[in-house]
Amino acid sequence: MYTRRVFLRLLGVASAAAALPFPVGCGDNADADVPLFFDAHQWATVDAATALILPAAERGISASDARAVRYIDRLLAAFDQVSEAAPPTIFAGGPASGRQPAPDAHGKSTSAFPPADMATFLPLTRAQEIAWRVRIFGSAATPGGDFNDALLGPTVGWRDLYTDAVTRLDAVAAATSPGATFLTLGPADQQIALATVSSEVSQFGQALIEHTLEGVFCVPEYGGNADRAGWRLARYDGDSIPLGHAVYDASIDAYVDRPEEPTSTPSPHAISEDFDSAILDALTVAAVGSGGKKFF
Amino acid sequence: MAFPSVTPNVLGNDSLAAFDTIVIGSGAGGSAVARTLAVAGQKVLVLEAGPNYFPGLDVPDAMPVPLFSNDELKLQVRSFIQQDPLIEPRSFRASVAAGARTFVGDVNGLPRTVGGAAVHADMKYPRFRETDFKLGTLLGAIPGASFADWPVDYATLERFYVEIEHKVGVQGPDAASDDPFAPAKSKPYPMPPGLPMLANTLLADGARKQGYHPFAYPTAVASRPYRGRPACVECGFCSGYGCPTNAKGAPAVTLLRDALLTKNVQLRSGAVVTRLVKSATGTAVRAVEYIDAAGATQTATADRVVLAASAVETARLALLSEVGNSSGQVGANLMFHFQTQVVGVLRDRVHGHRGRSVTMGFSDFRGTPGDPDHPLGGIIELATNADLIGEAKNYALQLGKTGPLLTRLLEQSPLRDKLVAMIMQAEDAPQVTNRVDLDPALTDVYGRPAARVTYASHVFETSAREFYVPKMLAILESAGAQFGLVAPIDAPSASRHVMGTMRMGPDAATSVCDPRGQLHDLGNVWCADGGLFPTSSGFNPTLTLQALALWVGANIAAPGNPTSVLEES
Repeated sequence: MYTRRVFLRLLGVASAAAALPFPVGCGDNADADVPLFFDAHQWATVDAATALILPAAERGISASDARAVRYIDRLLAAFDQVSEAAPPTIFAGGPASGRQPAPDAHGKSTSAFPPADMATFLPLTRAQEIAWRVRIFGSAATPGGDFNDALLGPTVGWRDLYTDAVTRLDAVAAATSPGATFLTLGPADQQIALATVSSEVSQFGQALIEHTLEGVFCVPEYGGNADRAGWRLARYDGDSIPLGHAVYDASIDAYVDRPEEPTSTPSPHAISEDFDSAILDALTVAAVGSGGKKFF
Repeated sequence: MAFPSVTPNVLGNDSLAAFDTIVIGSGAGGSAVARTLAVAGQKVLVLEAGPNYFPGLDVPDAMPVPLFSNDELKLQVRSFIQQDPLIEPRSFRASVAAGARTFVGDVNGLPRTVGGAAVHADMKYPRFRETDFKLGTLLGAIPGASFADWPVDYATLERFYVEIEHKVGVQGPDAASDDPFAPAKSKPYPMPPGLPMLANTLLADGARKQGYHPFAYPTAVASRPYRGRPACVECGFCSGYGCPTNAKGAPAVTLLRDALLTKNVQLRSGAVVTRLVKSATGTAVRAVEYIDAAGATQTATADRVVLAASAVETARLALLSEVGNSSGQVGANLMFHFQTQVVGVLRDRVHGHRGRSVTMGFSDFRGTPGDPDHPLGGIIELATNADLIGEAKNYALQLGKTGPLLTRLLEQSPLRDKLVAMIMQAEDAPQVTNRVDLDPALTDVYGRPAARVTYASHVFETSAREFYVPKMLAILESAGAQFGLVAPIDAPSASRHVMGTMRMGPDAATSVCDPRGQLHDLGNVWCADGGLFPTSSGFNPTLTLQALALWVGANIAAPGNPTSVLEES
């Protein structure tokens, strides 16, 4: 890593760009829509659960479209294919993704793209490895990870949380309707089953919400945000290095905004829809409850 | 399974084997001291607990290529730079009466990396004011509070401010457009302001309509190519993120890199200090014990030791080592900036995810000591919300919205793309009872007792909050906001501005360090971080922390003539 980076730095971005084309997004396992940890039933069940957290609305994009389930699966499998050349898939590299080009001296896009640094994951320190193994496998199953268990109780790993929750969701479904599984329930019954299991095991409910939203909106190198579905949903620019949103132009000794994605002025095609009535109600409750105000 | 470290664990001159000084911590304070001593010819060993994310930091003639990125998951969710609360937890309680602890997790955690806590910062670099150094005198006795004058005044520090502003590269307003309440400066900022963010401009207009005086926020981010670093491209991933281009004048790529290039400095990363070992007489520290990146226990020795691990960690280390505490004041007078956040929701999108997080502010709410019509609050940062995952979790977990309404909230984005914010960094009254000590049972992954924070707000800061919140809401209305929301007071405080615990002062009974930063109790140990601050002021602390650390280092390098080390004025 160190040697490669110093080498690239000495070459500079322009020369490194000679290695184009870089793949958009990342290769191998992160892109394949197959489980590395879940079995097929667990995968389908968690996929359906994420779509209850974030279903399609105005823009027709759901957590399932963004493949949040793939993000969760890759997180749970982060230590499964580790070698010296392939660290755990916890921290994507930097500084660039290779999706954005370098700007020229006046801020215009060029055809020079930096290396896809984010596609290469970074080694963990000894302590970081313990932290992430505790999260995924639990403190009791992680050497050196149980140092506060006598005081705080053991940490249940996410693998167990998810696999146990799938079993429990199916049990709730079968209790609702003999022979049913979570996947065969209608949407309303799925909602009830998920709410039941999430309240029984609040750690699962919270983990599912957090992981679903991370999987929808993360940089795609982690396996989620397929086809930038999450960023399209939120009308979000995503990573911008090295292009950025403005450049200092030495020829005029001033900053220049990028015309399509400016920093200091409104975006040229920004759509500022009025809030839905339900959102207006939620904001009114939040504002007044906080000691603030609805001004108009 | 063992993995290779991110980058080699030794930076700088790896052939050095004997050292004059050990500096514990490579951040804002430690880098300033290490550079000063190295330039003066000392051999310096810097011990840094975190890993190095700046590959090539010690390579001459080229800047490092950092491992930071526009990756919210890595930087804001997965603790890439931040102290990971699972392996380095802290505990919290509001008072001794609350029991051993009421919370375990992230309590004012700061980054654990080469370059220190400032790696996460968006580098807001205002100076303190002249009166901020005299609040003990100007405020008089306040029940329950322990305000004190600083043993060093603004006039003494002024040239040290200039030195840091030029070494790190601060962009800021010229005299005509500056904060009308700003203190006197002997030299202008080295760079003009970069682009203002749209969201800041709209709020600044609202503030002007209410009679206040917004200005371009002094910020250690290059707005022009500066000393080998590029001008910022406004990538938008600033506060909470390491800089992917080195446009931020973070300690790693400024003072620390300078220090490493002198050949008089060796930096060992992944070196977690466990204990300062006292001499036989107990009046000095003769060695520093640490756990290295591979997990082995090591010992380093030098003539003197400088503690610069941040206010909480420096106090924790002194307590773990049972040094410096004859006063009983190690860990006491812990201060945060008391942050009040008031946010507005606009109807239009203002894309707070582009730009440097905070580009404008005003200081009308800093107030005047002793004037009840202008209570001491703090500078107002005009801010935004840049983080999409954070926005989504806010709707789902704080507001409790999932399902179709969550999706619609994310599509319409009231709390990110249409959000404007004001953050007041208010004076936090020092209190002897607000302190860091060692948790009796909680440990970190290295087996060290965790730091425990005992902290409750004083009416001094809560009354200032009540005074200024209506004025902040009025600004939002003038700026055209549809809604104004007031964030609750958080406990434990989420502030990353951590000060006090190693108070500097002339009296060994009520302070830990003397007026030049040396511990009253020990003949060869100094402190050079935010722990020294007797009071917190109402301005972002890092510039003052660095100026003060430089002053401490200058007094070690050139006793009696500290200004002789200055190069910029």
